[in-house]
Amino acid sequence: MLDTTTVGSFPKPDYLQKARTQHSVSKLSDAELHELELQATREVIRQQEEVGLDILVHGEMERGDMTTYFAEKLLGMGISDLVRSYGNRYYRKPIVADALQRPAPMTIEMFKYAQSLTVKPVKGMLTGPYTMCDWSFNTHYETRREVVLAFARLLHDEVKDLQSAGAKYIQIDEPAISTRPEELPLAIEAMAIVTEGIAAKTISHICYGDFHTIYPLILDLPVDQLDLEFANSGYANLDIFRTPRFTKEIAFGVLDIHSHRIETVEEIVSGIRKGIDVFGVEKMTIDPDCGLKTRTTEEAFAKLRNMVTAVRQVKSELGLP
Amino acid sequence: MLKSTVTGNYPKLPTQKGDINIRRMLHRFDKAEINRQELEQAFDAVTARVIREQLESGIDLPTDGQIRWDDIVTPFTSQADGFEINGLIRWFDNNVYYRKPTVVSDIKWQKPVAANAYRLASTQSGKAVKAVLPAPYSFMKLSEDSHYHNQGRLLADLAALLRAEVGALVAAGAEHIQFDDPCLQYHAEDLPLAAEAINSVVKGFHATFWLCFYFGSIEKIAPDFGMFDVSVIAADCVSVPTNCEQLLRFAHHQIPCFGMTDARNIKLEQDDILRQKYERISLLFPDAYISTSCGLEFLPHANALEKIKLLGCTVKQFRGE
Repeated sequence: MLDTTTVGSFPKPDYLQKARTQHSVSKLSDAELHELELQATREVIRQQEEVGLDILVHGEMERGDMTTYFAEKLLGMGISDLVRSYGNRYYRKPIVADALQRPAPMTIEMFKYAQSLTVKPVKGMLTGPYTMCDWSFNTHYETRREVVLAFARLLHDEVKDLQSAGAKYIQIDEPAISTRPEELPLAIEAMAIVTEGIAAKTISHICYGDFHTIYPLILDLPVDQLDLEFANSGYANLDIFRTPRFTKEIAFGVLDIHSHRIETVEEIVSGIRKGIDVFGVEKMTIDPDCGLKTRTTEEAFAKLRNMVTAVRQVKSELGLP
Repeated sequence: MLKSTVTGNYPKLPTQKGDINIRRMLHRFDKAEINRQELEQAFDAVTARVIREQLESGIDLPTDGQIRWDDIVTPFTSQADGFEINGLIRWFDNNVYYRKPTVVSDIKWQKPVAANAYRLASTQSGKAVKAVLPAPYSFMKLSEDSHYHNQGRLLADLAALLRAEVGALVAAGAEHIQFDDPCLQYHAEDLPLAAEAINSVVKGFHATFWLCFYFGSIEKIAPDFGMFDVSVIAADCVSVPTNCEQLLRFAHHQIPCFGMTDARNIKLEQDDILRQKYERISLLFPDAYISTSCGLEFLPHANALEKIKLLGCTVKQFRGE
């Protein structure tokens, strides 16, 4: 009840950014880069503990992009040249170029490492099958449905491996799920494959879409908790979830991750109260709107400190431990 | 005789290492390593390359590639009174984002935006180049109104701004001017409003005006195409293949432009299948245009170049050249 967590990514420290650049031009070995990724993971776990979060993430120090990382691990996938995402920002888009296969677990080593550093639970983090399809080029499969279901089957194996490795929380992000409401049934079908038979708490993060178009059908997504953004709309999208009643657990976004501004404790408290009014306190976890990797480390933890303070204040008001 | 064209934007970054990299130039400009004039020269050089590549690929009616633009609306808001720029919003169903303009005071045109780029492109091309503007209706829907609170007045002032742009383009010699209206197919009930706005923009000007739809289905608006005082109607026939039938059925009052080459996926179309489609189109509309399904900036440069080579080549072959 009112546990605190984050969505997944944290800003990479300067030394790791530089190392990644050097690695990309073969001036740094895989082993040297990996050692720095582990160092950054140790730091981000310690920082999350210091700030007092309840459920931790490993910080995604080894990942450049939430789809490209998996494309580099799967057979049947390639990576395109640069395409623009906005302004002067570019990314390399995955390509589904052949039948998809998972030759080995993709996230287990870093999950185990991060979990070994703390007694607090660390979430297993994956990108969902619908988003993997939607954010990739496809030159192999005939239909989008085939691509989505192929991703779903191999991500199910990854989820099983995460559970076997001890993950109590497994987050399967689907930020693309609201872009084509007509394909929501396909995304739900795919998530059912991913989470089938999984006892760990399953979470799906969805952002930057029009929730009007997917609510209430999104309640059929077979996960225990939906992780949604609220702060960046000034909580204006809360009303969508009043009717019909929200039936899942909610991870409630209270920090605008695209803003440099540090939200005050008072405004976060106010936001949490608004959320409680709609969702009920017993179903709520509190977190930022999205991953924090676009902020500086100082901004990210200043925001999180205020978030944790705000949650403690609300808990105190409600007489919660 | 069928003719080939492109929809609008083109990848800004080159495949060739020696070519000017606008991303790097913008970074250098941000760090004050180059001045505004050097940056403008870089934009001009990339525009020249983009025009050259289209012409060498056999495209009959090129565009300037919108090399200076981040998206289709914000260039016009930065040179006019009445706007502020806000946070990132997803560009339809793509993993691409734009900064949403907010209307904060009366909209007033200050100076031409598209005409200078047109002049440069026209000089480079030596033949007709298509200028591209946002349609007033989509301009309105892609913005946030915190000033007018009256759709009719807001649309009228946006139409006045665009009419000033059209005046500058016509004075610069533009013969083909395209309005992109990707929002209208999702709000068919507003078609009379959108048509009135477009018609007020073009009234009295002598040019070939285009109206272009991409991403969505035109089924609900196609029967009323006759309400638009434009000469060409263009539609994305890849994202929604039935749009091809809609154009064949309803483009009685205009020349249709069929977006047949997928500008959102790198997979190349089979040229024999394209030629079969051209055959069918030319029986009903021998002077139709064939184009990309939407702007090419969703693709890496090398893939975009392959697409326009295929488009230019297949249309030329179909003409017996």
